[in-house]
Amino acid sequence: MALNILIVDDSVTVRAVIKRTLEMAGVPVGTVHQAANGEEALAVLAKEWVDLVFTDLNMPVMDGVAFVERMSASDLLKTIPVIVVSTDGSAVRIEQLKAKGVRAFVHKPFTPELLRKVVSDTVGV
Amino acid sequence: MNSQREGAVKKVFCEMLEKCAFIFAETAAKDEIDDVAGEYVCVAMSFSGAWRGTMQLALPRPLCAVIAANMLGLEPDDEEAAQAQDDAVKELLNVTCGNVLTTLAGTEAVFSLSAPKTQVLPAAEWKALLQSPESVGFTVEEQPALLRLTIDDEAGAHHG
Repeated sequence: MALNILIVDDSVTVRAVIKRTLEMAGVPVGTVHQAANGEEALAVLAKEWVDLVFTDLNMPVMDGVAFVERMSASDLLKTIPVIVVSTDGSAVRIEQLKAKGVRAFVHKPFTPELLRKVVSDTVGV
Repeated sequence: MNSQREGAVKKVFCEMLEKCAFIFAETAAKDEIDDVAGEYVCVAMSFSGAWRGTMQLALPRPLCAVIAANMLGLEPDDEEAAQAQDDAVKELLNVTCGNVLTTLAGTEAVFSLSAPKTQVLPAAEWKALLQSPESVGFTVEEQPALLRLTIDDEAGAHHG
């Protein structure tokens, strides 16, 4: 099953790196949607079918925490698995995010092997 | 900068450059990198939370293109890499700053990082950054780079 993925990060470089790393890791990728912040991401989710979301935390307009909270408040969106990709190394923040429904956390920088394992553990693909 | 912070900055920057862009950096004595020519770029960001402070990265414009190309898996003269220069060095600083803070403060500390901003760096400001006791010099692809970390609250000074 190919996964339709949404990558949310204000850095176009990071979005490209995540997309390329998923492909290098052999993750079955279908359509890759991109958004520069949480608000843009919610607009994508309102009209596209997405199987898995990767999101940064530190973004303008709507940051990753607010985005995750908006997703978890929606009956439709809260079932979509969310993986946070961030430089944030705080164990406290990771636990807070998991309590809000985040399924996994990837600390930057990451390897294709790590990303593959996290995707496999999260969605079983 | 105290030796613990300096050690963390040196180690983490070299690791991040290698892991993100597959480029090897070496620490450099400041008198080896004081001769500047061409355009330089400075990327800066701040952090708050457990500690408050700033991190700045200064490097020559051509090196930004190399870093962007390597991060994206493109050739340095690729148009996409050229357009992503500023974005790529912002991300390099963002990753470096986050990892330096985790190295120094541990995983229990919580920080908020600002969005990095870039600006062209006049030669006089390169000299000022070079002379700062809080900056560390590197050579990257035979080009100079400077990374400066300031931590300006008492908790940071005490722990770091």
